[in-house]
Amino acid sequence: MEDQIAALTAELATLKDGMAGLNRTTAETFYWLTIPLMVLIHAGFLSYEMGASRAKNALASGIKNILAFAFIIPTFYYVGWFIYWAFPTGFSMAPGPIGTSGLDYALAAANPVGAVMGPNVADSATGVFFGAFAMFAATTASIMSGSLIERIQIVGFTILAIVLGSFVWILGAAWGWHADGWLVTSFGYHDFGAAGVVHAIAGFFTLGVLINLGARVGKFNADGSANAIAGHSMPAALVGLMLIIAGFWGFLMGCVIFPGEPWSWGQGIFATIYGTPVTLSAMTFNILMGFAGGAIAAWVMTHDPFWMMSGALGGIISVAGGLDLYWPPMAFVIAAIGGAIMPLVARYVERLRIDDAVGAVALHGVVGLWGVIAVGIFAAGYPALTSEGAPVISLTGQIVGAVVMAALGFIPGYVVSLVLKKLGMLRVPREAEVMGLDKVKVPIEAYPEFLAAGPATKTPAE
Amino acid sequence: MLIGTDVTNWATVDGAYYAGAGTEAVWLALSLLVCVAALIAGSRHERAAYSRAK
Repeated sequence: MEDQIAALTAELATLKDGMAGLNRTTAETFYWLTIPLMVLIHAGFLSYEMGASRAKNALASGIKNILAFAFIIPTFYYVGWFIYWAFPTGFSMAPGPIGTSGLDYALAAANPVGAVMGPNVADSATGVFFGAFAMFAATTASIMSGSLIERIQIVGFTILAIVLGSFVWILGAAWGWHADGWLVTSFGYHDFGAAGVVHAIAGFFTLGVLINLGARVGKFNADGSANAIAGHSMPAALVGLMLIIAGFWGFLMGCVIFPGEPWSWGQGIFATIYGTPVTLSAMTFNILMGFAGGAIAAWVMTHDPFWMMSGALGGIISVAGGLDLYWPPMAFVIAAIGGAIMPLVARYVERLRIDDAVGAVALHGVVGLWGVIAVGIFAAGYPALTSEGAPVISLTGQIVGAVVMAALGFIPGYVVSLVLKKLGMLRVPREAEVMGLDKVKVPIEAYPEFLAAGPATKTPAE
Repeated sequence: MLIGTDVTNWATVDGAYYAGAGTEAVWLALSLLVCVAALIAGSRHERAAYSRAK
């Protein structure tokens, strides 16, 4: 009998080890899969941005987009991941109530010269978490990138991308997208899908840059009226937008915490980054409703396929903050409001003589804020955290969060771009802009058969 | 060590096992240097290109 019990105990231990290993590798794979899905966002931004550029600037726009992605990876490794864990309670770097923040925690969990930030058989999580967050970071830079096309210097832009992607947004994430974040613990701020911490911050950072960058040559007439500067490939822009939406499933997948691991919130069900319950099923209802509401409203407002696809994206951003909480038809209505707001704001921005080439200030900045505030209107009253006595979600808390996100984006965007402008690193010379940036600084041509002044370059085989 | 590893038996590995263990800061500094150098080279290339365009 005792032998049988011992054998069963040993078998149970083996089974438990096996289950733990399976859960660990499944969690690792879950976050791993968010990364290629989020790379689709960047494929989309690449296509969208090149399509929205005139043919003479198509490749220069592509270079800019690729470089933002490339430079954010190492710089986010150096500082971004550390900022997320060090600063949730503010600049004091003190630990928060949950205990997963502060200087000591950050030095253990995100030290760029520490053993957790590399191949380690005892840690299957840090690399994939870092990767997912680095993709969020690169998304912020891509959001900014399209607005600045056809007149910004590449290195100046890259510096702005690093500041936004590896410093600014991740500070907002520490404050409002972390269970120890002061906006969460003090105001009950809730932003499940990063409407504020990614979209609003990136959109308002972009606004700050646009003010210093100025409009493209020929955008505005002397009387203040605006000219439409059409991109060279609307199909490429539309496909790009759809790819961004496809990638958003990975982005939102990366917003949930997998269950059953030592770093998880619990067993058996996904949780939000705040520890509150969520299911992929709930998210699916609301992402799809958000897409539909935004696209339909934008169609009614504009009848323009570019704005329809932007509206679909805007619809998802509108409901992102409360994807875990909304009743799906409610999400549809919230998304429709976002899709209707977006073109109106874009027109207003243009009336201010700000040349936002792809409408990122409206789509990501203002609709991102709408997504934050909508949570306070439509989902007030839920506990923001699972701990006893946690603050509840409120309109006041969401408005405070919205103001913080807008200011956190705008101020660094304005200041850093102003410094770059003073250093002569922000805007290309007028002659280069008129000639086209591809001809000025790109060694290959986008469409040599159609646009080359002389015969197209031939390969030896030809 | 700057390159290579002390690992001679996988059975003894229970934590970090990357090449360059112990010299992480050196590699971090080198990679940072590459980024800065790339930006400087890129800026020079851009300025030369703009000068030619004028």
